[in-house]
This record gives sequence, structure tokens and C-alpha cells, in this order.
Amino acid sequence: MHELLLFGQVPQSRHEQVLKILAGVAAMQPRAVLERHLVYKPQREPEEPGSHLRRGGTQAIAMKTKAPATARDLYFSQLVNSLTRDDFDRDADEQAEAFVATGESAADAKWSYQFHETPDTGDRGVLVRLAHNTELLSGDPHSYMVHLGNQYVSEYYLEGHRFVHDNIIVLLHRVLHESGVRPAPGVSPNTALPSFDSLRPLDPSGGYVLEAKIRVQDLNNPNVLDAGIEELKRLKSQMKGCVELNVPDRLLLDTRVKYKPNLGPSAGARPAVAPR
Amino acid sequence: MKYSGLWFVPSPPNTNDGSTRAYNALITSIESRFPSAARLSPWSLTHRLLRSTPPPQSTPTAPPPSYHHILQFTLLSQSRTYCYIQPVPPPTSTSTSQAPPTSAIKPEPLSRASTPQPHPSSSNTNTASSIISIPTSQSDPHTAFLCTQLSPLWSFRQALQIAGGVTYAIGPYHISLGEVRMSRSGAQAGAGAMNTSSPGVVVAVSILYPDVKAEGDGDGEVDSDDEEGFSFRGGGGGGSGENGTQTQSQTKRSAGAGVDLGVAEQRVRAVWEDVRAGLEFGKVEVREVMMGKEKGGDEGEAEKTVRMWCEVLRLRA
Repeated sequence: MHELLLFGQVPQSRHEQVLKILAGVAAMQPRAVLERHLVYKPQREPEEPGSHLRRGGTQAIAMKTKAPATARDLYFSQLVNSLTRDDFDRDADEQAEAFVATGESAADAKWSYQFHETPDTGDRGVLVRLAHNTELLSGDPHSYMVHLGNQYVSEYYLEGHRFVHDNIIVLLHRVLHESGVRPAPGVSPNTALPSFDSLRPLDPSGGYVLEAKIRVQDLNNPNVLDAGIEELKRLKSQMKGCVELNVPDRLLLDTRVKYKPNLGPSAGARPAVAPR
Repeated sequence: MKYSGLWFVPSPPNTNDGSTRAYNALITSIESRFPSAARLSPWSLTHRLLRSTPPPQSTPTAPPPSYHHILQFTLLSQSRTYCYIQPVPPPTSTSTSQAPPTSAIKPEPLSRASTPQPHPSSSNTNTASSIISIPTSQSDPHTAFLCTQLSPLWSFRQALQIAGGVTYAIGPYHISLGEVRMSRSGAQAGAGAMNTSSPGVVVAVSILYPDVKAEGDGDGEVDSDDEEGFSFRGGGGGGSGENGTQTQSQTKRSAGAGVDLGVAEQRVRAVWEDVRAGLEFGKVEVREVMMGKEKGGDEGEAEKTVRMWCEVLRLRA
């Protein structure tokens, strides 16, 4: 499924005001959102760009002629755990239990697997990217990610409010993290949540990000795509003066794993690649 | 609580309808031997298999592939699809039960670097597997996503479907049969592009202990089975002949209070022997997989069922 996106920035001093304005625009009370995002990347290192072109063919006669393999990118993906403020106050055992996915249906699943691709090139006035979201109903999400071929990299927390205005999902949020904690790559995430007060905003000024998103099932339908873009532009003009919504540089949202050339032992710590 | 064994009867090569004949023969055998068998509601199953793609610069001693199964099974759940990742396939001997997984929150790292060959099934290898479930409505997009966006890691292997499975209830036993159809429609389990060839027939025999939870005391229930007059040949002594499957059960035979799963396995096997007695399937090797015997609650039972079915449906991939 694809997403059409616009972003804006809100300084902390204006957060309350913007929240009230959005509640008026969307005609609904804000819904509190608190999520824990676990970031994973594939265990396999990406190839050197262009190496697939240098790789020659084989001399085997009986092989079917395959199309030259395009270099497929490796992407970061995320596990998202939706939390409430009370989850931070539970004791360690309960939190360890909550680390396993439960839920009867997609609506009350707490864990989901989220994947975003790098946004498309081209200027349509909004950012377009492929997104994929699968709710997990049971099982150990971290173990599934590891077996899928990923390793845990880091985590962050997302705190904010969500509104729905026609087809647009507006999320006014900021990113929090545990300051000073740098997990070693390849370990598993801590099941026990830190105390909520120990989380610090990633942006020291405490600014918020406004994300306006429309989800489109199929990009091949130009009418639907144009209608979505129109709606986002209407929201942009509606919010003019309050929040400036525009299209950021697409490479800021690039989720590909970068190729790191092996410069030798002096290159610094490379993440340990777990053998598959 | 339910303990099951699963048998896969491959269709003989070079025949078009070998599996249909085997399927009909099995149904006739069941209906003639057990006239009181009650037919329960039908079931269906969709199974897709992905295999891990080796890295581009793979050497001949690359580690063996791991398999990602996506199983949608109406007897287990109507609304959930199970995704099961199996790290290293156990050696394909005639009867192997799955190595018990670790369901701890912090999984152990996969230890496959040193041994290109998997360990024999008698020693419990430490290869943890992983099972999650997702809503069935998202199973098609999830499979498509794995095959396209994660194509450097996973590639599509095969898709199987069992459309009109039947289940017979005979006392405490349930016998489920289904004819497997292989679909060539790629990552989607499309009903339209069904191939006419069928790899074979799957028969599942389960014994139910309705009053027993996984840890409960079920001795009373076990005795009453024989009182109902169901006698199956080879119930007691048949188990000792097949040492391959007993390696798992030897360690777990006296698993504390509760149903003796070794006995359950023998009974289930006796039912199968009885059902297939006198039937000829041609020059094929029937593959048997028994449910794992480690303890677990209800969720553990669903996971054991998933593992058992996925092991059978992996076929020769």
C-alpha cells in the first residue's frame, strides 16, 4: 500500500495551540498515541553498488538465460508496539509477558511489522512511498524478525496525538529515546520498559513533527492518486499560517541499508554479522 | 488436548489421478470399516513456502537454506494465518519429529556456521524456530511483500492448497483427509491458476482427550478409549519397531502427570495402520510426521500442529 505524505514542524511552545486547531479542523478529540519502535536491519551486508554488473556469466551450457540480476536493496524495517502510559508502570514480569504478541484481530493487536520504502522520485507536490504494515497476533515478534534475517539495531519511542480528517491521518508527534543508551548491535531488545520520565526527546528543543498521510491501496489508478494529492494540498492551504506543510527531501526518509566498504581493521567497529 | 500424527501419501509418478485414487480408496476404507463414523464439517488449507536466498557470493559450502512457511488452516483458526520460520530442515528420513523449539523471549542465536550438515534427529539441535500469526486478510499482502521487497532474503518456492478436506469422527479419534493441489500462480494463492497435478494425499489422525489440558491428569480418559470397543491392530507392540521416531519420545515418555504421549502416538499410528491396511498406493514411500511431544499450553498445541503440517507440506523443496 502506498502513502502520500506531507510534513511540517511545530515548536514546543505552539504545541498546545496547534493541537486545539487540529481538533477543530478534524472535528474530533485527539487520540493519544504512544509507540515503541524497534529498528531492524538485515544481517546480510549489502553488496558493493555496481558489483552485480561486474559479475560474469558461467560457462555452464545447460543454464537458462536469466535476466541479469538487478541489485536489490536491503531495507531497514521496524517492529511497532503500541503502548499506553500505564504500560510503563507495570513491573518487569508483566512487561516481559507483553513482549509477546497477543490479539484476536488486527484491531487489537499490539505489535505490528512496519516497512517503509524510500520515497519515490518525481515532484507531485506530495511525498509518495510504498509502505507495508502487518499486525502480529501471536508469537514472539523479535524472534520472528531475527529468523527473517534481521538483526536488532536500536529503538525509539513515538509520542503524540492522532486525528482523522476525511481521508487524511494527521499525526502530531515527537520522538523520545533513552538518553545515553547505545545498545550493541545484534543483541535483543530489553523487554522491560524504562520509566517514562527517563525518556528524553530526540530533538533537544522539544519540537514536534506534524505528519499528514493518506493511504492509497493502488497507485495505478490516477483518479484516486490525484484526488489524494488534491486533498492533501487542501489541508496544506487550510493550515497555512498555523503550520507550514511541505515536502521534505526524499533522501531524509531513505530506509535502505548503506554499503560500507571494508577499509580494513582501522575502519572502526563493524556490526557483527550473525551467520545465517 | 489433541495429539496428532500426519501421513503424506505421495502420488505415484507418471500417473494423472494417482492421488485421487488413493484418496477415494482411503475414504472407502474408512467408511467401510467404521460405519458409525460421523462426517464433520469440511476444512481447507493453503500453504506457501518461501526459501531463503543465499547471498550472491555464496560459496559451495554455503549454509543450508531456511524455510518460511505461511499456513492458513481452517481447522486451527478461521481468522489467523500462521507464519513459521524453520531454520534448518531436519534430515529427510522416513519419520522425523521436529526438533523442539525454544519459546523463550530471548532466542538463542542460530548456530549453523560450523556444521554444513544438520545434526541427526536423535540429538536435539539448538536451532530455534519461530512462529507468529497474522490476520488472514493480511496474509496475501504479507507474502507478496516478502517476495518482492525482501527478495534478497526470501524467494518463493511453492504453493499448495487443500480445498475440500473431510474429517471423520470415530470415538475419540478424528481422521482428516485432503488431496493436495499444487498451485503455480506464484506468490498469490489464486484459485484460478490451479494445476491439475496433485503431489499426493494428506491424512491426519488425531486422538482427543477432551477433559485434559496439556498438564492435566488424563489417565482415566485413556482407559475409557478401549472400553468403547475400538480395537486397532498393532497398538502396543507396533511402536517399538520404529526406533527413528522413538528417539524423541524416549526422553519425553514419562513427562509427568498427564497423558502419556508415547501411548497416544502408538494409538494414532495403530489407527493409521488399520485404515491403510490392504490398500496399495503404488511404489511410493509414505511420509510420517508425528506431533512434537514437548509440553505447552493451548498456544503450544497450535504451534505444534503448525510445525507438523509445515514439515509434511515442505515436500521435496
